[in-house]
Amino acid sequence: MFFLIPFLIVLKISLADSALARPPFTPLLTWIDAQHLSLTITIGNYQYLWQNSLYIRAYLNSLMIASISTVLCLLIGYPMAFAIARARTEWRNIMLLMVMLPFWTPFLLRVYAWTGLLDQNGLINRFLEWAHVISSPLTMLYTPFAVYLGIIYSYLPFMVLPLYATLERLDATLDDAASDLGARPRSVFFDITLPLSMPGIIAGSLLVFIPAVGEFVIPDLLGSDSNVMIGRVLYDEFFSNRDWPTASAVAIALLVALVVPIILFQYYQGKQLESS
Amino acid sequence: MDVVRNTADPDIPSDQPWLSSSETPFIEIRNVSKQFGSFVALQNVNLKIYKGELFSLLGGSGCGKTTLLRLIAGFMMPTQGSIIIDGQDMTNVPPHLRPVNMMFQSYALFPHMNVFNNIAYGLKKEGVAKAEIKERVEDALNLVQLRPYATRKPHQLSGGQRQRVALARALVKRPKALLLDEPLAALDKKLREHTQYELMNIQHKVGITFIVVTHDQEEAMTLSTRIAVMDQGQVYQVGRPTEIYEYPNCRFTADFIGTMTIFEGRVSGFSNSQMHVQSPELSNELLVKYMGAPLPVGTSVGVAIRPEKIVISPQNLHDRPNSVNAKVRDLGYFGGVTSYRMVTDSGKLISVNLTNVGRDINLKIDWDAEVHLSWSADAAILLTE
Amino acid sequence: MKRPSFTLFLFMAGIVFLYIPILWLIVYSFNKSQFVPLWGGFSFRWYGVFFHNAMMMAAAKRSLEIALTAASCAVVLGTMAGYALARMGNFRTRWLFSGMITAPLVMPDVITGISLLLMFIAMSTFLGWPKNRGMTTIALAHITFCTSYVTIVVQSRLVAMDRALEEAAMDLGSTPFRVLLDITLPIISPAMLSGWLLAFTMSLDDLVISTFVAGPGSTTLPLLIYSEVKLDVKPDVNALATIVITVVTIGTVIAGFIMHRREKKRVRDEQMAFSEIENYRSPSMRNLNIMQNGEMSDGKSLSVETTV
Repeated sequence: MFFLIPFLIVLKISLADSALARPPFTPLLTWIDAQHLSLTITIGNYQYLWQNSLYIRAYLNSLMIASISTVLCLLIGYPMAFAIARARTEWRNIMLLMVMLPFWTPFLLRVYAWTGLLDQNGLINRFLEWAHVISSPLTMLYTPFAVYLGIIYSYLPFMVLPLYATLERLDATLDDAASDLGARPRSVFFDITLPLSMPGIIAGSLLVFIPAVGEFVIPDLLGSDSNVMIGRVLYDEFFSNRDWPTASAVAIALLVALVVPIILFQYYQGKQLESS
Repeated sequence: MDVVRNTADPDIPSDQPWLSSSETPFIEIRNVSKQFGSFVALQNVNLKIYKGELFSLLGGSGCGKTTLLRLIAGFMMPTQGSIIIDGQDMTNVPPHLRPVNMMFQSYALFPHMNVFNNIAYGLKKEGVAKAEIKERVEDALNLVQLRPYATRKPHQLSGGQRQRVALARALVKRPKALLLDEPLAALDKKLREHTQYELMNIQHKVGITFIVVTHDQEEAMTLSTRIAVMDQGQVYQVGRPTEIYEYPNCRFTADFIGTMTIFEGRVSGFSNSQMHVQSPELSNELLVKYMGAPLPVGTSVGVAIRPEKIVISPQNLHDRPNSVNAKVRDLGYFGGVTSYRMVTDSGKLISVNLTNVGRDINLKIDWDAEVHLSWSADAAILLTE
Repeated sequence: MKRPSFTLFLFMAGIVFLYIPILWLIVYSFNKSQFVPLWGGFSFRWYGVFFHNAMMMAAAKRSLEIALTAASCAVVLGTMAGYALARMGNFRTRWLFSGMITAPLVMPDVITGISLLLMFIAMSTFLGWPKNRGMTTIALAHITFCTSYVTIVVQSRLVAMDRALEEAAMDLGSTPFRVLLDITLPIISPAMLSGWLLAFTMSLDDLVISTFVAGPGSTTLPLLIYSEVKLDVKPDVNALATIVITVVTIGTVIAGFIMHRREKKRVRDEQMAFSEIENYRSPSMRNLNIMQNGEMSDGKSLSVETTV
């Protein structure tokens, strides 16, 4: 009797997500017509994607921006997570809260803040001029630099949290054991801490990489038109060109690129839930 | 293991170097104190540990024994005092440069390395040549009988096997001393007994000084050449297991090691190397053999007596010293021995053990039985502190 | 292990990086100048502009309504889904079910948005509902991804919960339903609350999915802000940001304070209980305790004493 309601939700969610699983453009054209019609259209759309360098470029561009941002996020986030995990117990929650608090400010507003900061007349240029680092304002807004900055800024907490969770659970006596066996502090870190924090590195990286590939708001607000990402292409196809089948094909192509990372993430997530 | 003995003094037994004043200690703890904020973990500790010893630090949780071990390993620096290992001051040397190795209570095996690499880790850090590493690790694996398990990961091993990997990992470095933090605590009872003897065998084979932290008095008694009894950051007594058990020098040791009944009283006289003590808890006089200078009359002292040193007799011993009438309140039958808790007319509880020599169940002393207890003057211990 | 002072320095640098934009938002909300990047003196002017912006107010009200609805529905659905995942063992479609729950969490928003939109269109074609895109479709979309967040939070709390508590209640004569009401729900209620808060924030924060499923007349606050800031920096948006940041910070500080006090009380209570036990084991009782705890349960130590 009590099994019924959750199963109804299974049904509901499977309905909601079935649009994900099956190519979402088919409903548009085939609900009335026969099945084979949709099939031909599908292939046509993908051929179009392949032949058009705009899509390929945007696609590769997205993967590259996401990868580089992920690595930079890791480089910034790891020391932060490490510092929190090694802080005294009573400080940890406060430090964690300090990392999390900006996350509760709406995402859009935080990205918007960078437009003001990076502006030709913005605070950063003003500061650098005041400090005599530069003589004339730098163009930072609407450049790839701004996009990287925006992505790293927005997704940094997603990197820090899983890293912290892993580092905090590491057995500190392993470090003691390594230094007892003659390892210098640097070796302890590279031999013990780093390999054992791998699950956190993987989870954090995927958590940054996957949404970054499809990111749309940040490149739209901070980036330039010459450096288009796939999310923007999808949006334009859908809303500006009203070409829904192509937009859908773009979405599926994006999904295909992300299937492996997503499955990886779910695998690690499942493992962590079971072990905890 | 041959230790260089001081041959000049023939009275000192060769296995008790601490009795000789000219023997240099291998590890010396000098006036060491350790404070965490306002909490005093160790208070002016002095210890001399000699080469080849199996030395135990024994005490309850929070007594400072683990802190002391971590100070020797170098994970912490003492607030005061110095630590000398083999003639060198190691007080401020970081752990990776100290010639001692530790076996951790949790074993602290690296989960991402197999058994071989765990054991080889310390040698790699030392910069030992590959071929020699292989040879020494294999020797260590043979020593702990884990040869077939070299490629397993720690999570594929049983508790006892993990313990042996941890031991091999620390021993393979050929440290000047091996520090063992509760080496047997994580094992189940049966395995613990077996491992205890194995540990002693290995120590005998490699001849390395062992310093063991334990809360288990039985373990300390069986393993050690000497024991340091600790409480609240202080060392109360250092001695061989028999000394600690039979000649405790203070109330804490007497009370902590084994079971002890203590009568509180005052000195009433001295004759024939025996102190006379009057206790309000006992109507008869107490006599205790005492070799030192007689204590003045009126000094308050404790007279301690072990349960197995008390004789249960059927006849009335009314006016004799060191005797009392009592009634059985509780008994525990353990097969070989029966442990009694007797209560006297004054309400004093006395623990008595009786070895079950005969098999006749009907002769057993049962609940509420009225008995007479007595002990000899040299079985009792006079406690002045 | 790096030197702690060095990592602490890096941590502080990271924190500065995280807070510079926040500080900018606040400071420049008091800027008199019309042209935001330039500082033109202190003023409350833009707060007035913000509160008198009828469009902004209407969008804010709409967003709050949607967030309240979505978060509340998501808590109900997410709790049930989390319960199913944590308690029903390995049912056959489990991998599929759990995959679907976590999918919206990691999926790029554009994909979730477009697939939900196409599903709504398909639904209106077949079922005749929802007729138009608007508040309803936004709310439904938000419920979908919010449910995922709540499910994860509730599920991990349930997995961590001691099953013996439920078994004890069952053993004491509770029906499964009463166990759920008396034991399970009270224990997971903090998780449900944090799930609700998370869902509420996520709903308020969502821009991309709403872009896809919104219709005419259902402009939410993020949609409105987006269209405004896309072209230029708008000082009244700074004012709004400052209000949001203030509310969030005060809320977090209060929640943190309450949690801190509760934690302190718990530690104190535990210490008191512990010291009561310690007093009970006063030195005069020690013999008795050693006998009861040590030797009575363990005949071995006795024989050692007698033979040594």
